Amino acid sequence: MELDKFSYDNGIVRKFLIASVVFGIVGMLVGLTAALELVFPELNAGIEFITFGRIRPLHTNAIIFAFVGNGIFTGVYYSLQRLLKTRMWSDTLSNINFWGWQLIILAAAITLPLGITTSKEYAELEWPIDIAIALIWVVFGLNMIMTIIKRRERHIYVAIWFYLATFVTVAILHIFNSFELPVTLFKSYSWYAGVQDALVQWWYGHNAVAFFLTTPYLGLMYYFVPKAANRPVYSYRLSIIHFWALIFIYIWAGPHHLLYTALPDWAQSLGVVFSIMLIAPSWGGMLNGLLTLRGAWDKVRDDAVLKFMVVAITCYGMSTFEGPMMSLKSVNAISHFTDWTIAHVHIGGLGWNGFLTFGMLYFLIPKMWNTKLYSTKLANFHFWIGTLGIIFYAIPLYWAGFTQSLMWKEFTAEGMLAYPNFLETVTQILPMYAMRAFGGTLYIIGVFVMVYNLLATAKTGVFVKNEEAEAAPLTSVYKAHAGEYWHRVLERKPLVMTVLAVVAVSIGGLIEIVPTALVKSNIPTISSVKPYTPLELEGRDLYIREGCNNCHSQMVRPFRSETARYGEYSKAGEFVYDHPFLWGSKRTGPDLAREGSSKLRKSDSWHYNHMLDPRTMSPGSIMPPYPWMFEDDLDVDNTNAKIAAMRTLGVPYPDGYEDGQAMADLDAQRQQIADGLAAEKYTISKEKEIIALIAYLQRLGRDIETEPIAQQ
Amino acid sequence: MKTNTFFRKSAVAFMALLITAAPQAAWANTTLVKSTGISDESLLVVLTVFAGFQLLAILIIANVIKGIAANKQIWQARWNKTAAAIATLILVGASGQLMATDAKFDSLVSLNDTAFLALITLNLFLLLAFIYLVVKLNSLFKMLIQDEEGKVPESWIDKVNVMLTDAVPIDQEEDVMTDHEYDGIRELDNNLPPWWLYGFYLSIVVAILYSGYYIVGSGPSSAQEYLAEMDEAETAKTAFMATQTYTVDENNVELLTDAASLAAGAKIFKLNCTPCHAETGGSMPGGVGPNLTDEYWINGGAVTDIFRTIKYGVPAKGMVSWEAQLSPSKIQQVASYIKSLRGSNPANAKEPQGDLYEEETAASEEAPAETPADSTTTSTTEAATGEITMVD
Repeated sequence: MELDKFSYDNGIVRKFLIASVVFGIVGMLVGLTAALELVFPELNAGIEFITFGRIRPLHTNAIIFAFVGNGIFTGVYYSLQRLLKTRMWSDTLSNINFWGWQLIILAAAITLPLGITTSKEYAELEWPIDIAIALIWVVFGLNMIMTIIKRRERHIYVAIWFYLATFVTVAILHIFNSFELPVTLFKSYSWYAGVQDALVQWWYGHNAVAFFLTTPYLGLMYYFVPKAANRPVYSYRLSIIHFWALIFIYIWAGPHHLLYTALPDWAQSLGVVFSIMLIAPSWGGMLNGLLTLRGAWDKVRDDAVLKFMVVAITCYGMSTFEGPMMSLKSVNAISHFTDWTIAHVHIGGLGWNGFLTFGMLYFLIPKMWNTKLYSTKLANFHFWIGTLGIIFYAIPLYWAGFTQSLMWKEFTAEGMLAYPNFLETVTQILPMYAMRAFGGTLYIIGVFVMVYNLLATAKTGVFVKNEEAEAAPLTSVYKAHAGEYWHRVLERKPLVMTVLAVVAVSIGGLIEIVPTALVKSNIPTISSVKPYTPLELEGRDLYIREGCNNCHSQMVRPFRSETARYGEYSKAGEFVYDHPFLWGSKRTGPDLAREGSSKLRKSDSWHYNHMLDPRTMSPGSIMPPYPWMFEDDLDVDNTNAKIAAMRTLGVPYPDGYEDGQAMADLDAQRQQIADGLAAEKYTISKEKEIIALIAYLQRLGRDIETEPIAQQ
Repeated sequence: MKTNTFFRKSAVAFMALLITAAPQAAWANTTLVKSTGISDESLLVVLTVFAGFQLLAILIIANVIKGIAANKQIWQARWNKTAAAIATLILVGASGQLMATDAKFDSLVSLNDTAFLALITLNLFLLLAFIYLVVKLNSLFKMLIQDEEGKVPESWIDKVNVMLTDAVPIDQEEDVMTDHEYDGIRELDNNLPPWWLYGFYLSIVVAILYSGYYIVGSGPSSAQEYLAEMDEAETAKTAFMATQTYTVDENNVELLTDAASLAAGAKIFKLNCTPCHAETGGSMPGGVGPNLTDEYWINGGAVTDIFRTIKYGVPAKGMVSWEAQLSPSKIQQVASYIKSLRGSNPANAKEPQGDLYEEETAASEEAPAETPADSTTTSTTEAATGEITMVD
């Protein structure tokens, strides 16, 4: 048969590869900065753009979407062409994919430090960027599917099943979680409120981990591990079972991020059971990866690529076992809101994603530059310092998590909290935070060594931009082998497979989200819960802008240790006007759900001093100061538009409230707060942002209290 | 079948080691929650069980060695210095283990965290030593039972491995090779590892039972769990309070004047009160809280008033409630300390606020006060003009 001659596009792979490395370094350095800010709270030197609350989302977005995202594209563009024996369908689309994605990253790098954020974790980017992400993602998917259609390989390999599932699921997750009502070009409110918003967000957040950090990387593992080890994949049937089980089960597990919150109990329980069932499908991937190395373990000793991949797969196995354990309610009661979670995700991030990416880079660069790795010694050094970095990162944070959680929960015999002052539980773990930053430093040093090694490697070779290849075209008729496995049929019909993947990932989401949104009994209403005043609403938007939710939860869980510390546990009905919800996922500082309640209430002047310099009011605190909120005037240009938008979303502001009355109310309230502060000798203009923030903080938790608080 | 016996014995020894690890873990937990009220008795039980298992492990390993020694032929043929070294190691390890166990019982009287950590570390180390010994023994035995051609029989680890993965051996893997080939990648079609498959089934069964109990059945909701937890805490608290002869509240609180109580009060003050009231208690001009060293009180200056203010707070004024944070006796100590600051006249204090308070004792013993303690007429401005005289 006549062989087609064609070439593989290595140019696009190189572009994504460089972007992944560059943004990886940026993202890790931002992460290191954030880690150091917890140890040295004034490290930001009064610069608002680099406070912890603003760069923490920058770090997560940079790592997930820029480092790993570009890593996905690198691996997919390289392997897809070869697995299908064809060049990418359209070089133009490939380049639109590349440049579009980098522009999105650029937009993120600009907007997040400016405080332009939706506050929803890993979905912080505002609506115009959300639209851009959706478009570019579709460009990627279209290019991939068209490439599959014009393939020269009859069946599609397991790596591509994972790529397809990744494409469709991320599209679904991103679109549904990003339903938001724009107020201005840079401000929108989530379509969903309170409990529903939390459920949709964690359906997304959990599955961003599943379908952005896991499934595409499993696809990469299925390509690069057998290639690097030169061994056959261990078990084809294991691939089939764990693929379908994984994508079907993963999608249900989101509610395990919301255990013991105001989410209805049935949804929490569903999150738990599907998390338990998730162990085996996850480990199926680990087993297939590790057992592929059977008979090649002697190579692991010498080959840097395999070394990195073995640790990556092992870390994958560890964190996918730990994840379900943390989803058990009794374990979650201890682990949630602590650094345990941070340690857990970094086993995945540094170990699985980081090391698999590094392994892939050490494989790709000698291949595409047609040369040998410059220095095995340096690669080995990178491997060991990176592994040490992971250990030094994770162990102190596990220790910090256990320590802090046990301190939060300890009571004296008299029935009092043993550590009633939250700060005691923070200062206790500061040495662990310092150790974590050290671990992160080791890891980054390793990356720099890798960059040097890879650059030196590239220098010794010549880049092959278009790699010549030839293969026979597919015949129009195909006769199936006798006795072939039923799944082979699907592998010949990638579009059918894609549709089935959509079905598999839609079921869990639908069953959990639709009833929570539609069945009234899931969110019992509380009549005393009222919409925020215009000033409080503006204050809330400042809280979002500063990323306060990155360190402060607003969710008192139904535990004695929490009600003793914070007051009545949070009820679903309290959040019905919260677009978006601000429950948070980590308590670096105390919970603020009831900050304004009579139990916890501080004076306006306390907040004034605390925001200006937290350590005057809370000696030893690791919160940064917020001096700019005392200098900048509150932007009230859009207050009326915000009120109108909120009404559209179902918040019962009276009709026409935004035509004058809202501003009058806002002005009266801030006058009152400024007057109160003045009486205590704190002179500040009512126009300043801090006044709105104080108004919001003092409102928190007030609604369900019957006693009014006397005006000062 | 000497060989099989040996393998079985080493497997048992290994299991025994794993079992000893469990109490170790429990023990570590005990350390973490010790201060929450694990009694010394239960600790003793845990330690005894633990010691028992460790002894058992030692005996089993000793028995294994005896087994090797009993195989006279091999013993005489292959006996070498390695075996002697290993036997010595075992003895050292075992005696160390026993010594460690003794140490635990001795120190039970006053177990502190450092001792706990040291013992845990020591025991973990010993556990590692055990595992090391078993592995060494195993390889020693392999060496001893090589047949004439020098071929080593399959070890139990290999067997377990095969049992767990159900994999086709590498030299026969062409039998399960599929005809798939993608860019040079081929695929085997090994069976699903049995432990994985049955683990998956098990997790599904657990999931169904869990859903049955919590979603359909009578499993407690998180709200019910909370109520149960609170009931339990209340019961425990009541039981504890019954053992206390004297409980302080805002009605019966008395001023403490002994140095120890005041020192304790000072400590509490420094930890909790200084941000708003300054180290001196005098706050500062523009400070958040009022001056606690002068004669003027916004919410009353009697020890009962101060106790009440601390306990319940004054939300409207930003004074936080400390009821959940400080026990009544601690509130009494800090209130007494605050009273002791009266008249200390610290530098840079805040101007007086509230009403003049005159000590009751002074008022009753001498003459009726010019201004009643609860007067609302004495204003801050009057105070500032210096009209007030010290009564006591």
